[in-house]
Amino acid sequence: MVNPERQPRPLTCAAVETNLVAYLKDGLSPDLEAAVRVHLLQCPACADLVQEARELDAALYAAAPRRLDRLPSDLSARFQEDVYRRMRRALVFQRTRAFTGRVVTVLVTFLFVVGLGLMVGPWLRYLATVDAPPTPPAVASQGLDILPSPAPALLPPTAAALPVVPTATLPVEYHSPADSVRALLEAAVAGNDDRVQRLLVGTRTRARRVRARLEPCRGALDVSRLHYSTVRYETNVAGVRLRYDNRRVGEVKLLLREDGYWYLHYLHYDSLDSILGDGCLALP
Amino acid sequence: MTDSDQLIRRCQQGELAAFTELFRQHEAQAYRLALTILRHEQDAQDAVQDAFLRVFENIKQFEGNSSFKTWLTRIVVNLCRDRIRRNKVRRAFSLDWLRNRPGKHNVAREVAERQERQTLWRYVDRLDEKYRLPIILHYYERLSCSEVGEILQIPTTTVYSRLNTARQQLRAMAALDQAGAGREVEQGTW
Repeated sequence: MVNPERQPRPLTCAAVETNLVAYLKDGLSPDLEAAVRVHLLQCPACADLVQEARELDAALYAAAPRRLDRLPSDLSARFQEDVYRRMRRALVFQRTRAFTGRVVTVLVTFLFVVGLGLMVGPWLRYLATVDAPPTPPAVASQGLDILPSPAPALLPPTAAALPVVPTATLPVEYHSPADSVRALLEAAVAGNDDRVQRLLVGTRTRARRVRARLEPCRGALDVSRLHYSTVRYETNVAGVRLRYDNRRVGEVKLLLREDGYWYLHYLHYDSLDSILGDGCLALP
Repeated sequence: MTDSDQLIRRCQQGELAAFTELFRQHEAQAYRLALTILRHEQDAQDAVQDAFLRVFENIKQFEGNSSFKTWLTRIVVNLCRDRIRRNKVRRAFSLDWLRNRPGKHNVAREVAERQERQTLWRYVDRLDEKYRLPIILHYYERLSCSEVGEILQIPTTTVYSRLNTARQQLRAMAALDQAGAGREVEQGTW
């Protein structure tokens, strides 16, 4: 809305010419339009210019060829025919592309599923083996004889000698980390790889690594010189630190699983050299 | 929902008969516009075929934010511009086929008017593309300046500005021609 009390600002002739078409097409703001009107009343040259522009405007409208609702029938028919020929071609192309796309999708999905099966199958078999609750060894221990009970206290960490069990058969109850470590050592020394793997939680690579490290322990471990202390890291994570002649030689991390048993998570050695040099758990 | 909206909805559902009807409704306008911009019949036919093919392929993306005519016009204008850029050669063109026959009107007057129109449109044809397209869309297609801006993807104020520049150039051309005609008359008289 134009404010009647406000005087429109004066415009120059150049400004009027710049805004001429917008003025003719009612495209100016009310203020600017009012200013142009005021200028036109005072400037005959610009008024003539506007008149001339109006005439040109009308002439351009009039000069435009008349609008036709329909093309000539022959042209229309030819036109439709050409357009439809191209449309049909485009449609065939679209359908072919859609079909090819579906085939490719099915093929890719099939290959993906097959690949996934090939990759996951061994994993599932491995996990099924790992998840199964550890069973007592089928064969009697040939190496370490370690007394599993009573289970050592978890906290605070205390150093205690691993008790030696004189009997050949060991009741395997993995209710404490120390029991599990004992069982692992026993199995490793005995060369019972299946049992070692059953005690491990982790990848097959890790299981292989642990077995490889424990392998040299067979028949070379003097259990009377081996001590351990148990450390509880979290509710379900504990560690069993191993000492040989009061020298720290390594640590076994264990994980308490839902079945209530402690499974071995990984082995950690302070010094790889000592293991390589001694061929076992840093044995002298 | 208008008939036009229903027609477009049917086209979007892939009904070929609806496409036939849609094309029939707009072919004359599209062809006339393409012919005016390109000034070559075969090029115009090809451009409109391309435009309808593009409509056929993209009708599902048409959301109705602008009218179908505006959408189609934008497609035609863009395709014509592409062709102009490719060709870069303007060809001589006659608008005679578009004009109605003289019939029972005053022949002398119609001839004079036609000459005047042809002169004016010859001036328009000499304008740069930038100024010619707004003239064609506004005066020829009778589109509003805001619609022209929407089709050319420029602000409405720019449309005003271009129309103004076009007006000034047309004025200058007419003045030059009149001066030339004056010299010829002078020479002939002498």
